[in-house]
Amino acid sequence: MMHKIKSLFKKIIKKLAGIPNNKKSRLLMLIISAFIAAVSVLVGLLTNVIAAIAAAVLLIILSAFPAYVNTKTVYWLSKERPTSYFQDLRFRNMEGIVVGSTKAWKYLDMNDLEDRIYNCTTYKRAFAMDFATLKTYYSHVRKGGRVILVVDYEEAEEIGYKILPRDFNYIHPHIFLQLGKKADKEKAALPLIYYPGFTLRYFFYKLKKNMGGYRKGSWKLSKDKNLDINTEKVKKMVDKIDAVVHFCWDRELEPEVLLLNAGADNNCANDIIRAYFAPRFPEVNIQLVDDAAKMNELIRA
Amino acid sequence: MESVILNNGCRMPKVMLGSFQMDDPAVMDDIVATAVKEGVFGFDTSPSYKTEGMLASSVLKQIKEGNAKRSDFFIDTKIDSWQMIAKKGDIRPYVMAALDKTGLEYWDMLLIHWPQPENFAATYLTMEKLYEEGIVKNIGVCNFSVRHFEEIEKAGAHIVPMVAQNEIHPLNTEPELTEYCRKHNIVIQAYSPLCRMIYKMKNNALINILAEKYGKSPAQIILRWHVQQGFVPIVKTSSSKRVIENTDIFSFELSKEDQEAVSKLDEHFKIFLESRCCPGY
Repeated sequence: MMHKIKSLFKKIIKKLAGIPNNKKSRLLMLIISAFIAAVSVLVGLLTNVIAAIAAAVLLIILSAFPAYVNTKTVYWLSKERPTSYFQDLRFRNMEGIVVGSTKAWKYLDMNDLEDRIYNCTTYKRAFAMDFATLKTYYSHVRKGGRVILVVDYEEAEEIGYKILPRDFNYIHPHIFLQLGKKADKEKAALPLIYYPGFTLRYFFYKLKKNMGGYRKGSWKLSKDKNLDINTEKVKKMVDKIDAVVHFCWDRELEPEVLLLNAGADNNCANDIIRAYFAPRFPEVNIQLVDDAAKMNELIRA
Repeated sequence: MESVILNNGCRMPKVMLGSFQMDDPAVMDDIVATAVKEGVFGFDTSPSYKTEGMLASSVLKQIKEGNAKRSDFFIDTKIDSWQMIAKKGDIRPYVMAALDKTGLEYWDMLLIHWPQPENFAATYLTMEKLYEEGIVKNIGVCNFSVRHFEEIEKAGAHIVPMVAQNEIHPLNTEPELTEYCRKHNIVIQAYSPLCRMIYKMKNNALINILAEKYGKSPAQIILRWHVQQGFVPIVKTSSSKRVIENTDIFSFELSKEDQEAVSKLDEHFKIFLESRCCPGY
């Protein structure tokens, strides 16, 4: 019996998958409308007309909200992508470029900096993608210009090397080609379905950012240091930063590394990273940063 | 049309016509026919421009009509980054396929389009073999900086590129590259030689003063500057009238002071940003 139900379910899914996308959307709208109508009628029969109307309005809002979140997320992500160099002949010979962590994306104050610093910070991007971003956009910076790499160790460890479909829009397609990856346009167009947690968090953080919610704030700073930290993993981060530093030097750019103190892991890892670089590369500008004000001061310098 | 001599003794026209963003075969036919009539036989194409076939077809038409021989023409093509990545530098199949598709017996010049970081050195070594076999008459590079030349040398390259094609115009004169190429006898081809006549080029006061002084158009002044610098400009137009105008630059000469004044316009302004075209450049 279960086997028959499973088989029937699979047939339905296969049939649905075969429907063209525009017809799928119409079908979905039809199903949702039918559901709202049915529930409203039921509420009306059980209570009164006003309650039925209220139920209908509430259900419409609840149904429309996911579509709104998805559409708005895709739109905001596309707007965060740097301009096309061909259509937009501004942003040449910039003083510097900044890439890095979500905290930089949230708290970087670009007021009066737009003509000086090329902002390539974005939400929840793997370190490897920050490097790929730098490789794609560094030519906007003049010779001898600054490359400001904002490092959040805990976030980098949390995200790992996941490449998201939205990265395809942000970095050069040859990087994907070189990595043997393929873009997934469907996942990029429907982030709420494929990456619900990421999409919802991004939506609300972006809303807060647009309303100025991060303008004067900073991230939480712990006074602890996790002395049991996995030093092998920290060494891997050192190697990754090292690669970025050498990349900059080979291209006559000046790297500046901002290590964000935040949680206990960050605070300990940053000490190790800075200790590693200090004697080996005294000319690498590497700073520990406790709060957003300090981060903005160093970027604005 | 006057020509320059490459470091292997071959001749290359002093002015060439580009085909970037051309998509109408009738326009291409018209441009090539006008060019041939004016004695201009140098053309530039690339797989990424999607004009190899169109250009070859127009060239073969001129040969068939008896207006020119194959040996009169000088045709550049390029190896694109995706080809280098796909074949890890062993780009011979693409070169042979393009020759088969276009019906040209050989390429006059094969260039690396962009120094794709992981594969450009291996690609250059393959191009050396194609050159030695006579499948291409000359080999060169595009968008190289001095460190890329040094890298191919370290990788074992033994043939100095005949040509370096870079974005060069009065707003971006590339003095370091120019010095290196002069030292190594590499001829520089300049693409976007007019900086696409963007606002700040078209309305540049000095260029317009010189245009009035010499009785020529601003484009002609700039192209003459290129020729006197020793560069070979690759100028693209869809207008036959402009083909005639842009190649009529040998009947006058800029004075030394005017030449130097134009060179001083350099502000390292580029349209084609290296990392946007070739990540990791």
